[in-house]
Amino acid sequence: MKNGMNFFKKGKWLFLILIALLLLPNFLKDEPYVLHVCIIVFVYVSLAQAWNLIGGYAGQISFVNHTFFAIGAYTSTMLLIYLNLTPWIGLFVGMAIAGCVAYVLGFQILHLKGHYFAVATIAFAEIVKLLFLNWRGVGAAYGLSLPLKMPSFYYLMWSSKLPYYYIFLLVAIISTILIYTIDKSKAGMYFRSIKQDEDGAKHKGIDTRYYKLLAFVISAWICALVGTLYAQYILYICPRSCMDIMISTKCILIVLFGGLGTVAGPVLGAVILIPLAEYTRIKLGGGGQGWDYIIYGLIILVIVLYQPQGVYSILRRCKKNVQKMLRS
Amino acid sequence: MYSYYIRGKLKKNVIQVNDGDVKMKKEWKRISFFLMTIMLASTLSGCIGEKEETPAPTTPAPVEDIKIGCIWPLTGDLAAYGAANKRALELAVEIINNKYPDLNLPLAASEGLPNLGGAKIKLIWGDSRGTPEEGRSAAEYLIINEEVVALLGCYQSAVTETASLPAETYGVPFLNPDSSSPTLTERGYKWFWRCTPKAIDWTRNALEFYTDINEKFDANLHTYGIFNEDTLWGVESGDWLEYWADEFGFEVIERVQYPHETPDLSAEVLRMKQANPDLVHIAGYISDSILYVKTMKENNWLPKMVMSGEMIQMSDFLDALGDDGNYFCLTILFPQDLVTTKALTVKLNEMMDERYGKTFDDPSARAFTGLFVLADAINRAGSTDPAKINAAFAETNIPGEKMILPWAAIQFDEKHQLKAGGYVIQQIQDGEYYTVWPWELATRDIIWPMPSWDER
Amino acid sequence: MDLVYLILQVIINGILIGGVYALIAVGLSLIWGVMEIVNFAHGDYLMAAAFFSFIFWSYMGLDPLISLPLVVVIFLFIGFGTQKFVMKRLIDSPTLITIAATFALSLIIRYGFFVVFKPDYRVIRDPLLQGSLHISSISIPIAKMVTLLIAIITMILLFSFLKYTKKGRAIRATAQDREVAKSLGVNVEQIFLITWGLGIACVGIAGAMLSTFYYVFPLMGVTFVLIAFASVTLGGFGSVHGAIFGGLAIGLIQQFGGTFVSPALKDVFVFGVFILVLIFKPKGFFGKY
Repeated sequence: MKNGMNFFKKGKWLFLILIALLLLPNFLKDEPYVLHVCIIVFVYVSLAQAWNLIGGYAGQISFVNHTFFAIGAYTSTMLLIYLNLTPWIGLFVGMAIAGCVAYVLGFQILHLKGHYFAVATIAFAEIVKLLFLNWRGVGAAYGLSLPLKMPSFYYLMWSSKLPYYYIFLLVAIISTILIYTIDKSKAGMYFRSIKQDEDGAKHKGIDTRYYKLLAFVISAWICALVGTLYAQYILYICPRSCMDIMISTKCILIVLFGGLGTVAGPVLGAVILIPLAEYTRIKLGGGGQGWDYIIYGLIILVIVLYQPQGVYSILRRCKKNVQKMLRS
Repeated sequence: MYSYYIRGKLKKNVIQVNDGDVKMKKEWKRISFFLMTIMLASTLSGCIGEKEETPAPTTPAPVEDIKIGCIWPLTGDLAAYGAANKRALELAVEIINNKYPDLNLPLAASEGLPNLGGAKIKLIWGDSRGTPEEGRSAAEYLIINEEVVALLGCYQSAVTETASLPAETYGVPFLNPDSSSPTLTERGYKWFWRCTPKAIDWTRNALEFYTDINEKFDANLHTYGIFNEDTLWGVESGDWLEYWADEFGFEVIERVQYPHETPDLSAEVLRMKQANPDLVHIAGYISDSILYVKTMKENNWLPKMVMSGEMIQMSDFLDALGDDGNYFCLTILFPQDLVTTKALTVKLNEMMDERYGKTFDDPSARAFTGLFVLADAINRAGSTDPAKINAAFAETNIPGEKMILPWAAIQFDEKHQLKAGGYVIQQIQDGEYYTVWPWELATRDIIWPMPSWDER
Repeated sequence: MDLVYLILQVIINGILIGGVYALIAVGLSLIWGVMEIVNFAHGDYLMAAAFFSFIFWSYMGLDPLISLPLVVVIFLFIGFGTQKFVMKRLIDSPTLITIAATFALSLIIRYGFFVVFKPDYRVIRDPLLQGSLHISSISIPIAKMVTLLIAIITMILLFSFLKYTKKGRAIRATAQDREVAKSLGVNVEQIFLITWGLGIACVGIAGAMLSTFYYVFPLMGVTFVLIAFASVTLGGFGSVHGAIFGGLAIGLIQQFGGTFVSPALKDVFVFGVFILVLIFKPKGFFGKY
């Protein structure tokens, strides 16, 4: 908690940005599209933070985060459709299920090293996707359309985008604070030491398996939470859209772009890359050429080759230079 | 621990550096705070200022372009369809906006839309990338930022489903010329219109065709096999085929659902070969259809007839398979041989060939027709007011001779679904597509059953 | 067809498609083993190779089998180029960075071809290798059979290169321990260059062979790359015979599962078995060299 407060104390900057974000929708009332992009940015800030925990801090390259996301979305939607249960409860059920799946899966495969773990998560994600595509009980390839209830807080459904904006903003902030808290805590230290040298960490007496599982499960919780809310927002889910491996891949690229294992990295990454993707899609994708993907690829390549610590490190360096200049 | 040591050391260094100029840092903070405030204020005022300015210039302009949003998969694995539709629609815009008195199409003779003072149509393209979310966000972008009058799209049923949501929310007419999922018009949307038959229609027509074959050739067909891909469209088609097979007294003895774009289909074909039904239906996109034909040839097996959807009319299918593609049947809305008797279609095909080196195929002919239906409604509405356009849609009545497709007329029922309009069945013979059913429309007799691979 | 024939046919199908997977996987395995880089662009190199074969066929009338050496040489140099201009900078980077770099390459290659060749499906018509052998009621597609043969030849050549030549031994040493190899006077940079060249040349062979019986399409690589990952991991990375074992095993599992249980779930069996193997044998069946 104390750490959480620190997060706000860290600078008036953050406070200011927060106020700006809270006020922003007032100026975007007639621009739901921009609001939509903002919401997607928040979704990816949260998802990227979740990935940052398992990938950036604990160093386990997971391609399974979108599965937890989908578990959250499917659980609450199924409960809403069949039991007419409010998504507020479904949200926690979804998180619980995703946590259990993450625990069992993690228990089995977290001891795998590097690429093996990555490929095993890809395989698991594909299995779940194929099963859902063929499971008539959850709509199979038809997907699930959420029943249109009366717009209300109880059903977490609104006809306007504004409430969604604030909810996703809240989730993005919560997940960022959570990562910040972990970053400053002992567990954060342990995660980093596991990432740096797992055997070494083990020798020093860290229960590496426990901590890796912890990171994996927390990461799954965040994803499931976002998944539930996303289903409530988009109102239609199907295995091909919400179990697409591109979701996890995007998270990884966002974290990499922003800065691996930093609190600010995923935020920066999502804020820059998602609008950029939207922009290139509209400006260049309209030609039907696929140029937007090429540009996306080039940006990633340049970042990876010349600035593997991500954009955050550039900003930090700029700040230092400015300080130096001011001093002299 | 080594890592801790490094961190500690680094931290110390940082603190040492900072200790020297705490004041400086505070100063820096204050400056940045100040800058930030200025930036924020200026952007905010910019937003407000812009908003006040915008309504002013709109009033005097007498004839504005009518913006129509088009959402199709321009990238992704269905981009071939998007590209074909784009060509067709560009031609349609050319025809509507300029004088083509020799073409018997609605609005061709005039320049622009006469009831709106000759306003021109302008297409704004949105890329769905073939995914439901992208389709929806493209629709939102087009409605809000481009302020389009109406939307057209999106080929895949799943994308149409989500892309029509914002249209419904903001009250923008959405005309869908090419998605066949029945649920789309069952949702009771106010602004959603569809000018193409539903999936049920072609599945029923396919089974009617087999019933007719049974009568004509005394073929005694009874067993039926279905390949369907695991997408929304594929599963739905499979379900309807199963339903109609049951209704018409055929027995589905094997239904193979397969993953879309899988590297290999030999297990699927082997399973079907094992069941050995009289008839096989492939409900899959063109890539998988090509692979099915190749794999069936490898396994040296063919049933009495293989039928597929309209996607195998894309020129890629025969380019890819050559003679092996012969004798396959397909259900189709736009039989090219039928309409060659129609001067209109011949002419349009020539124009298309001249411009792009490609001719109309089924999806592009439907998109082409869709734009004319839309332009016709806007013209009759006499304004870009969405409510008036919606009312005009309800009264749409385009006679058969004024369109490229072989339908009696375009009219909408109370569910906003196209009233008439059925499928015909074509067979590929000597590398050309010939209509073989209904019998009275046939341009060639059907070759029945398909010759096996050895007999070719 | 009675059950015996059916099972035989399934085994043959499994081995044939497994050969294709193995051929695709072997290049991946080599690069993965020596440099600890998972090449996410592997499927796109495959697609590019198939396109080169198609281009040779459509503009010069060369059959893929005849243009195969050309394609291999071209891809050898493409591999050199990839190492020289991109991957060289990432030699000691963390796993994630290399994954991102190859993913970026994959996007660039895939959509580069997409822009140039448009999203049309192409098939090489009437290749030299076509038709099937029919033995009683069992059919064996010739193109896939030759592919399997070429896969085996490639692997034997690669295996003997690694085992019996000086450079090959240096490659294996580098794979085992980069630092030690360096201290023993191995020019590691050059070894990496050779590895990339060989790995991409192998995928060049796979792409060229694939073009004889598969359609050529800018996005075709995506369908193969996951299976190739599974094959490599199952066999154990960096091992040539591991890749062929992995490919064949996956081909067989896929065909048996698809034919006897459910085609829709055929990849579930593949990935399921794969995860089980990983759980009990975390380094795959054959470890490093």
